[in-house]
Amino acid sequence: MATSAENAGTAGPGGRRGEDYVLVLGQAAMTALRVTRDGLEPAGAVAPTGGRVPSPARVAEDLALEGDPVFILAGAGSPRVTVDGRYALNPAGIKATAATVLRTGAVPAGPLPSETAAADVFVHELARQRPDVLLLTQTMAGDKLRSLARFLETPSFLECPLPIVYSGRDTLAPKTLENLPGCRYEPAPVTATSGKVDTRTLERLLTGLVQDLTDAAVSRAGFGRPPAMTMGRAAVAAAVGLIRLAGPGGACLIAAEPAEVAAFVPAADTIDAASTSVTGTGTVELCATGRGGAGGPRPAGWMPAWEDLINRIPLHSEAGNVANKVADVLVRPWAGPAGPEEACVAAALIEDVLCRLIARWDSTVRPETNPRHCRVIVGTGLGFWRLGDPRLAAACLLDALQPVGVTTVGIDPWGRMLVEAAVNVPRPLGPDWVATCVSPLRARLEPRNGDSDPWAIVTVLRSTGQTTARRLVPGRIGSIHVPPGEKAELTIEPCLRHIDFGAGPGKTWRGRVNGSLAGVILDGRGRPLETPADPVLRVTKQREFLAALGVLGELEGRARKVARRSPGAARGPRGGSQD
Amino acid sequence: MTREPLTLVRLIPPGATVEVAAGDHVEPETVLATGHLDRKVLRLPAGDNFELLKKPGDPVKKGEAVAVMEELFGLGLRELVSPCDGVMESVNARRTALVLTGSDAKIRALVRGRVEAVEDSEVRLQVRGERIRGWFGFGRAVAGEVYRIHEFFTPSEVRRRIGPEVAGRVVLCASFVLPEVITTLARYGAAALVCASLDFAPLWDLISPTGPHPAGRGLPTLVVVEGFGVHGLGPEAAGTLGAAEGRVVYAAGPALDRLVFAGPPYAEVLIPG
Repeated sequence: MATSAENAGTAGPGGRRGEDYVLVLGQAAMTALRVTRDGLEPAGAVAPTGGRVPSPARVAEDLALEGDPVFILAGAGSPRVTVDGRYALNPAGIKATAATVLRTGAVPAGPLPSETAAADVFVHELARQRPDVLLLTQTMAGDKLRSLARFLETPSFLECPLPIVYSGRDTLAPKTLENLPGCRYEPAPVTATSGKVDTRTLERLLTGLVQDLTDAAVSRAGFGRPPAMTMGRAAVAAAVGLIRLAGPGGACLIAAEPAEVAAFVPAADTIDAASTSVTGTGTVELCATGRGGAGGPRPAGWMPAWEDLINRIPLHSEAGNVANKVADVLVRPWAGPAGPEEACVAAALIEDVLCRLIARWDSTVRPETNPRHCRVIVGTGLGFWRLGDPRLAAACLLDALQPVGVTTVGIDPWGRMLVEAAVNVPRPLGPDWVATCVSPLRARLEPRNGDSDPWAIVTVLRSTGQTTARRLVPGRIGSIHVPPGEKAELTIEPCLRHIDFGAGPGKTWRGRVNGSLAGVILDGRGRPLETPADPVLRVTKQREFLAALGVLGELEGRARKVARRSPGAARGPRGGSQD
Repeated sequence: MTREPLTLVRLIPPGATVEVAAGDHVEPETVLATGHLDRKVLRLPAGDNFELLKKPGDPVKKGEAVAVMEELFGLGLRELVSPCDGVMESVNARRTALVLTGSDAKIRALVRGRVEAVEDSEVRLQVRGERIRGWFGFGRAVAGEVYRIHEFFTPSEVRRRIGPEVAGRVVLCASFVLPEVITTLARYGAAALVCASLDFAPLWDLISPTGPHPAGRGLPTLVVVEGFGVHGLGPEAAGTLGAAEGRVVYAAGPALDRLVFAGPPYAEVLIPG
C-alpha cells in the first residue's frame, strides 16, 4: 500500500473541484468539510459508511463527483480484533493489548467474557463482536475450544478462515487449532512471562495480518489506487506533530469521545519513541466497566449517578431534568446544544467519563505516566464540538484532568489533526488553542479564612511589547488576555518557598506560550479540586471559573436572544452574565 | 415518512436457520427463520454438592426443577428451576453451568413485502408503507393493532384506565407517559408502546444492567418518538399514527439483546401502506 504522502502529493494544494478531490470516508467523515474550509485540500465530500469499505465508483456516483479522487479511509474497513484471555481482562493487560492493536491500524472489538465455561456465552459474544482477528492471550481447551470449532463451521469462515493469533506461553499453545476448519492459526513465537507480554513480536504479526485484511477489503471494493488509512498510526503521527507544534517537554494527552479511543504520548522527537506509548484508555474503561475487570470491584454501570452530574453542572438543576438531558445528549450525539443547560449537561457527561478514565489510569499506570503533568491537552471528537463553545470544552478538560504547572488546552473536535497526519500535511495547523492554565503543583486550598497571600506573580510579555502582571491568589481565578495567533513570554514568580510551577519549589518559571481564545488563566483553586457541599456556593464557584474563560455569559446571552426571537420558546435558566 | 418502497432489516440471532431467499414474496405470517432462539445459561453452585435431575436432551418446563442442591450442611435442599420451556442442551465439563435451549421459535415477517437480501445475521425486506423512526427504544419486532391511550397524570389513573384490552396490541400515546404505564402494559401483555416522550431516570432504573428488566427484557417493545422530558408528538407523526388507529402496524427496537442509544439502527414503527 502506498503511503499517505503519495496520495497527498497527487491532490496538491492548488487543485480544483472536478479535477482532484479528497474523499474522506468513515467515522471522521465530517473532518473533510472542515479541512476543505481551511483550504488545506482542494475539495472534500462526506460519506459516512458505517465501517464498511464502499466502492469508490458508487460513492463518486452518489455524490455526483467528477475527476481523479484521492481517498482517505478514516476508520472505514479497519479490521476488528477481539481479545480473549484472563490476562487481557486485567486493566493493564487490556491497555497493552489495546495499544498493540491500535498501533497496527486495527480497532479493538472488545474482550470476551472471562467466564466462558458456558459455551453459549462464548459463541454469542463472538457472533456479536464479529472480529476479523481473534487474539488469544491464554490457551484454549475443552468446551471453549469445541464451541469455537462450532462457530468456525459457519460457511463464511470456511471460505475465508478467521486468523487466530496465539500470544502466550509456548508450552501451553493450543496446537489443535491448526487442524480446525475455518481457522488460520498463527502462533506468535513469544514467551509471555507473568504480567508482561512481548508486544513487539505480537505487533509485527498483527501488522502483517491487518495489512492483508485491509488490502483485501480495499481491493474487493475496487480502488484503483491505494487509499490513505488513518487509525492508530495517524493518531500517533498527529500526536507527534502536536508535540512539535507545542515544543518538547512534558507530555501530551489526546482525549477523545467516550466511545472512541484516547491516546497518551509522552513527548519525544521521534515517531518510533512516541508510537510505543499509544494506549487505548477509552477501551480500557469501556471494557472494565462493561465486564467488571479483574482486581477491582465491579462498577455499578457506565451511566453516571445523576447526583454526580448535578455537582458538575454550574446551574441549579433537578435530578429528573438532568437525566432527561443526558438521555437526549446520548440519543442525538451529533446535534448541537439546545441551550446552556444542555451544553452544561453534555460537558458534565464528558467530564465524568474523563474522571473515570483518569481514576483508572491512576490505579494502573502511575507512576510511569501522570496525566496531570501534561503540558498540552487536546480534546478531540464530536463530543467536544457538541458543547457549542470550545471554552466550555476546555473547562471540562481542566476540571476533569486537573493539570498542574503550565498547561495549554486545545480543542480539535473535527479530528483535523488525524486527517492532517494521514495526508502528511507539511505545515499542520494543529488544534484551536483555547487557554493556558497556570496552577501550582501540590498547592492545596486551605479552608481557613484570610488565606489571601498570593501564590505567585504572573507576568505576560506580549509580542506587541505590552506587559501585564497579575497575582495568582488562592481561591480566586483571573485571566490575562493573549489573543490567538500571538506568542507571549510567560514568567511565574512564586511568592512562597514551597510553591512550584514545574521549575522547582520557589523557583521562577519562564517560557513561551501560544495565544488562545481565553488567554492565560490563573487558576487558584488548588489541587485536588474541592467542590463546596453547599449547592449555592458550588454553583457560584463553578460560574466564576467559567466566567474567567468567558463562556457561560455568552451561552446564556445566545439563549436569551433565541428566546426573544421566538416568544413561545421556553426561556433559559435565570442568571446574569458572569463576564 | 414516505410511501416509497422501504427497506426493513430483520435481525436473525446466531444459530437460527433462514427459511427465505432473495426475491421471495412474504406475507406477515411467512416464517423468515427458525431455530432455538432463546438460550439461557444457568449457573450451577460451586463444589459438587448438587444433583442434576435432567440429562442433556430432556425436555423441561418453565419453573421445573433441573437440579437440587444441599444447603446448611445437608439440613436443607434447594432447587434450581428452569427459567424457560425447552430442552436441556448441555452441561459443561467443569459442571459449573448448564445451557437450556428454548423451544423452537419462528421469526415471522410481520409485514407484507419482498425479500431484498439475505445475510448471515439479517434479512432485508422491501416493503411499502410509512415509517416513523424513534430516538430511543428497545425490544424485538412485533406487529399489532394500534390502540390509543390518553395522557395519564397519576399512577392510580394508570392502574384504573389500563386493562386486559391492551393484550397483543401496539399501544400509542401521543404525549408524555408515566413510567408506570410500561410496567402496567407488561402486566397485561401489550405488544409495544409507542409514545412521544417519557422521563429517563425511572426508565433507566428499570432497564439498566442492574435493574429488574435489563435492556428492556420482559417489557413490551418501546419506541420513543420525540425524546425525553415532556414533549408531544410532532404534527406529522401525530397525523400518521393517529390515522393508523385500529390498523395493524409493525414496531421494533434497534437491536435484539442490548440497548442502542445513538443509532443506526433505530427503533421504528412501520405503518404498512
